[in-house]
Amino acid sequence: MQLEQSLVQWVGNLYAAGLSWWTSLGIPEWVWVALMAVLKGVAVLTFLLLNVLFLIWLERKVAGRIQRRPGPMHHGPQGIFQTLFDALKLVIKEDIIPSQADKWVFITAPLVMIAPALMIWVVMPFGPDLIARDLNVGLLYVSAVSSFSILALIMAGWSSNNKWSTLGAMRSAAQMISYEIPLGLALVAVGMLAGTLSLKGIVEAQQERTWFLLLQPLGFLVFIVAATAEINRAPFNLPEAESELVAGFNTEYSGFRWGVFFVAEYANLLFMAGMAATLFLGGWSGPAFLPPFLWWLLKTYLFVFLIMWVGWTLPRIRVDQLMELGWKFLIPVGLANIALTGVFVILT
Amino acid sequence: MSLDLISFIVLGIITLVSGYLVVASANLMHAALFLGLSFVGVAGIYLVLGAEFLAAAQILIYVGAITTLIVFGIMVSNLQDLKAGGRGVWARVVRNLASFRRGLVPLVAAAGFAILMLVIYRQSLWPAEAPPASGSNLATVGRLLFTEYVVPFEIASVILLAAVLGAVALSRRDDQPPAGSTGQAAPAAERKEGR
Amino acid sequence: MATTSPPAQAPDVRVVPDEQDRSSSHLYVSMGPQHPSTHGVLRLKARIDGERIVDVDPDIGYLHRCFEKHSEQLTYPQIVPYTDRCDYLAAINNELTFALAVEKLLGLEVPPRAQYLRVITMELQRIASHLIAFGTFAMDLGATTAFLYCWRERESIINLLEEISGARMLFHYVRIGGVRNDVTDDWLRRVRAFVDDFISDKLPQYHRLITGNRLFVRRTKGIAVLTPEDAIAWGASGPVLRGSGVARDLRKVEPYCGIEKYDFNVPVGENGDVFDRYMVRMLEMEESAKIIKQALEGIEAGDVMAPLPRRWKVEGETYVRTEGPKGEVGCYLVGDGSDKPYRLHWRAPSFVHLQLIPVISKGLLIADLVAVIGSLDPVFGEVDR
Repeated sequence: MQLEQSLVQWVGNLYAAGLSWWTSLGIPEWVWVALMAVLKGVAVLTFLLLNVLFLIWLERKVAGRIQRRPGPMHHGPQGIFQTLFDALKLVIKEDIIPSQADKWVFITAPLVMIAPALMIWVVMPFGPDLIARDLNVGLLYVSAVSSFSILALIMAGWSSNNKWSTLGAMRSAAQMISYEIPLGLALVAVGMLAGTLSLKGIVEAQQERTWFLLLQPLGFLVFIVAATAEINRAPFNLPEAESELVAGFNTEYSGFRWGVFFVAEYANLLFMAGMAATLFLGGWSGPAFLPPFLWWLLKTYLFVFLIMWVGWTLPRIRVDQLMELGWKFLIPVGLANIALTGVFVILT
Repeated sequence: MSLDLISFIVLGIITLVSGYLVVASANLMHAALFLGLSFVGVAGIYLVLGAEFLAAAQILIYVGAITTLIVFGIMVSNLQDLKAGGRGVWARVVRNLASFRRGLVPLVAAAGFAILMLVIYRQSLWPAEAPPASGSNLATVGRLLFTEYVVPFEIASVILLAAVLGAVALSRRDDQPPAGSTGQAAPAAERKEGR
Repeated sequence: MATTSPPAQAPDVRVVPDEQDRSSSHLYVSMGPQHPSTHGVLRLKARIDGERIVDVDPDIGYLHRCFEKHSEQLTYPQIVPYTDRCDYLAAINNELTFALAVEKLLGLEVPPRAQYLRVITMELQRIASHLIAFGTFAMDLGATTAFLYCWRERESIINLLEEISGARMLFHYVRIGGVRNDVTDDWLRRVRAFVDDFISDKLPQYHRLITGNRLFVRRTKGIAVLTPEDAIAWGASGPVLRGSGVARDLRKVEPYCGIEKYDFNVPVGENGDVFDRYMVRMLEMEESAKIIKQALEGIEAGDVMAPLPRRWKVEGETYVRTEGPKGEVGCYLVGDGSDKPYRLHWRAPSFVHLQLIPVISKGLLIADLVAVIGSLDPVFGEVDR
């Protein structure tokens, strides 16, 4: 706690000092602000990509343990550098664009996929002062930015000019539109309880009362199911169901572009886990023997593990059952939860 | 020159250019995607002006819902028709500008509209600048929606509900015998379109 | 035996044309031959409406290797390893069928110990084959973990069979006149240990992981129902036939290798859906284990190979069928008095079952089609031969 605060203070001082030095050079202030914004972005990006590398390794290890095999073992202790080499391999692979593909859409789709996956981290509170920007419409921002990825999947599926890709894209569009609604409903209930949509405010509200997991068990249920579906994780991994649609929307993607989709997927997984931790488990708050950031990381990885565990155990749900679950179960439950929360908020 | 101004100019250019390309693209899919991009540009301008709520709502509704719906609609329609126009964009632009019906008339209309807007803006009593951000414009929006504008708000929601029900009713295919042993009324693809 | 009679006329199955029909709103997709869940090199030509299947037509022949014609150029003992390659997941059952056919024409008497060993290995092989059927089926439904659990038990079986045959997949253990090698008492003890462990620990594990799972049940119950009439009319056999509620098992109907002395049940399904076919396989593994236990108790010392004729003079015509893991494995053999067969025809259950795909998968979703293929458990080594 102490260390982190002093670190933040030190960075703040450095920033102010840098600014005064900068203006003394006669360069306008906004250049400095813009530079610093870029630097901030790079910092979050680095953190994120490191985490994604780790997550991919973790996923393979968890899957391995669940399936009673060791997972990657070469390249470093316990195969920890495996993903690094995988990433290198992907980067140096031949870049293939199918001749019948819609070239520009095909190229843009991974970018449209990765951009929101990175943008969304702007509002994630890693600690009391560790937040890129505490928007007062934080929750709304989250659902807005995450809706980009639907577009990206459709672009990827359509531009590949492959029937399996198109089917995968159709599935994903249906799935993500359907599950965005219960996800939004769960977020609304949390916002009502906290009285704010700012993620930082929500964590602080939880410090005052208690974890929203205890106050919002229904909302949590809806959130975690809808979030799993939203990020296309098993048992909701229909858009890329390999046994049915070959590889779904990214059938025609290979090499680096495929890697971008992959990174975005894991960045989203980490984000949804982070959201679950922030909204329902009190985010960074925790006993003082660990710094807040580590608390956040711990809780996030708890959810990451949970999602992986479920994913590697259950069979895949069928497309019509998926729709049924979304529309006939999660949305009514989400609405009922909002009504209950409203009553609760008025009573207390 | 400030960061805000630069952002505004960049976003404005993105919005305008992609807005033009919506009309100019021969490929329907590209047009829809450019439409999405221009929506994003507008959202960015809102953000620069400090209207965070509006920006988020813009992306959520216009990009997340409307563009997706259009793109989805294009995708499930016959792919063959969309590949018809293969000529370069600029060649077509020149050709269009040269023709009276497709070049001059829209230009005159656009110019007239621009002049009209300019006149209105010049004479209006609206505050020329955005009101100073009052802590949370979200709270303001919420309060207004539930006090002053509660009746329109509720009417709008009822109309939307009716639209949803109507869409579901229209897209149901009752002439098809229940397919398979699962006893589904309509394939999943139809159902999601119906919303 | 079945009491139901076949329908007067076969159901209407149209052949799906090879290209997209522009005038129709249906999408034509070619699923395979390089598709992750067609269990090899099956190609399905399908017309779909959204994700619903309008028409589907299996296209085979990608693994054809002239097994039957080739056999006419080989002496009888030389053919045995080629039969392994038909249903390569159940090599022993194929060898056995061929060996029985030749023995029938030659009038060979197989020693009792060899009979016991044949029963033990054949039922071990049945368990191994059903394990793969179960594992790949679960994987097709997205439950990847079950697959690797099945691999663990199959590995044990393969290790046991490797010890007595030297091979890990295409065993070439059952020979004409008996079996290749005798086994040690220690081997028999280890088979016993494996079977006990399998029944008491491993099989319940699978049921806990998959059978009771609600997602799994909802994806398999009531899907792709095969009526008993259709099953008989289309020549289904094995677990596919029994899943439809027809209790026909060649081990009961036409016993071989002294299997009539054993006490085992023939599990049947009720509805003939994907779940029933799956469940029949799961229950059959239990029955196979029961048979192995009885064989281990009854096994007696003695020779494992009958004395073979110095010059092969096989004359006559015969059809021998056994109950393979996939269904009825049949061998039609014509000998012309030389040491090479005049004609060999192989009846492969997978080939017959593939015809069922268009019959039972109309109106299903693509995801169900994958489940249907998994539940029919085809092996393309024997489809294309």
